[in-house]
Amino acid sequence: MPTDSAVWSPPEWSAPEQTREELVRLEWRGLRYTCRVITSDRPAATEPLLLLGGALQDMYAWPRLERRLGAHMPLVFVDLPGIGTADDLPADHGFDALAEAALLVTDRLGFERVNVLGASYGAPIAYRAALSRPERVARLVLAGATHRMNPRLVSDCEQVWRTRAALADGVDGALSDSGRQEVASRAAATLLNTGRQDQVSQALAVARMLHRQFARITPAEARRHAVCHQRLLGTDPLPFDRIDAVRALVFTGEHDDVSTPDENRAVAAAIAGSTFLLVRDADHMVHLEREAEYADLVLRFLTDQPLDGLHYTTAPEHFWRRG
Amino acid sequence: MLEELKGILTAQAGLPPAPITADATLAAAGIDSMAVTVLSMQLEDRMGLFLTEDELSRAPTVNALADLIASRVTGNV
Repeated sequence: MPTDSAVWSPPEWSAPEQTREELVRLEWRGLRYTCRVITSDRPAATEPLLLLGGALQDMYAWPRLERRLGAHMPLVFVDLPGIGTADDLPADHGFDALAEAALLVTDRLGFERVNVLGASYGAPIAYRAALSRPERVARLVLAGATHRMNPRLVSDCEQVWRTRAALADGVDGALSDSGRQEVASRAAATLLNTGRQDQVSQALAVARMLHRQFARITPAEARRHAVCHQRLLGTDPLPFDRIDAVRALVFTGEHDDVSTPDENRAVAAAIAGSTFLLVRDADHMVHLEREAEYADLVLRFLTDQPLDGLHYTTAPEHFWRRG
Repeated sequence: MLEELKGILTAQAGLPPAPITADATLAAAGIDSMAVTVLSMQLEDRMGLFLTEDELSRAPTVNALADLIASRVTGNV
């Protein structure tokens, strides 16, 4: 039965006092990093969920998803090396290193099997984790995934970095106020489908929020982002090797032009038995634009509910296992 | 103003109404960066008020946030 948008209810919020937070310090090859574990007293409806977000998302960057999913399963948010509070990850370490560090989190927490959600920059990490240790991954969710950055995105990002370099102070890389605004405008535009703004939910608010976030980036943070960007420009950040034994959902916003629907579909096609769909009225920033629907979709998949007939997505496409 | 604030936060910023109580901190009420951004834009569009996200975020409670907005409406600040 299709869901009806008029009567549909997203996963309810749990109050902060209904969940507990624990910070766990970790170390991988001498690099220190931290994860946050959110648990509740309610029995878990599925395996714990490890969230691996975008290059700009630290372990506090999912407040609404945390509220909506926290009562249903343990949640693990992590500042992997190179992100947030963690030590820098040297540029010569690729996505395999990040996947190792991500899997170490589950080892350290003693979780035999986890659900893994990789969004944007987190998608190659999640994919590689599932590829290397499929027996540890109960379900894989990839949001905004692509095997490699498309030429339009590469060009736009290079333009942002060129602009920043031209405007930055030669000594410490700082920007003037006007320079910050200029770079922030360009950087935010790379993540948004500005040509479809009128068809994207909350587009103006998300654009303003991203602009503000970019305008506040320090020279040190900008250097970190440059390293992340270089990592994404490497050969096939998300490998073409097939995954055969992990249940998977791949999705993005229907107007995503950072990782296009076809690019996401190609990732899904490499995972036997996976499901692919698009969230309506959203682009790459679907977690902000349609956060309630995002949480609902993830919860449904992680608790093995059907994804057919959802009013906020396209019809699911299934990539059946061979033979 | 509290009810009007709650209306914006639920209808435009997508927050559930229950946690938005007068004494709740912004974090407890679920008022995150996205909600503050939407609120700032709505205040500008609806009332012609210019309150930055930083100003709004500094309010310790939902009630204080409503008072801040009300004081700007009446020009007391």
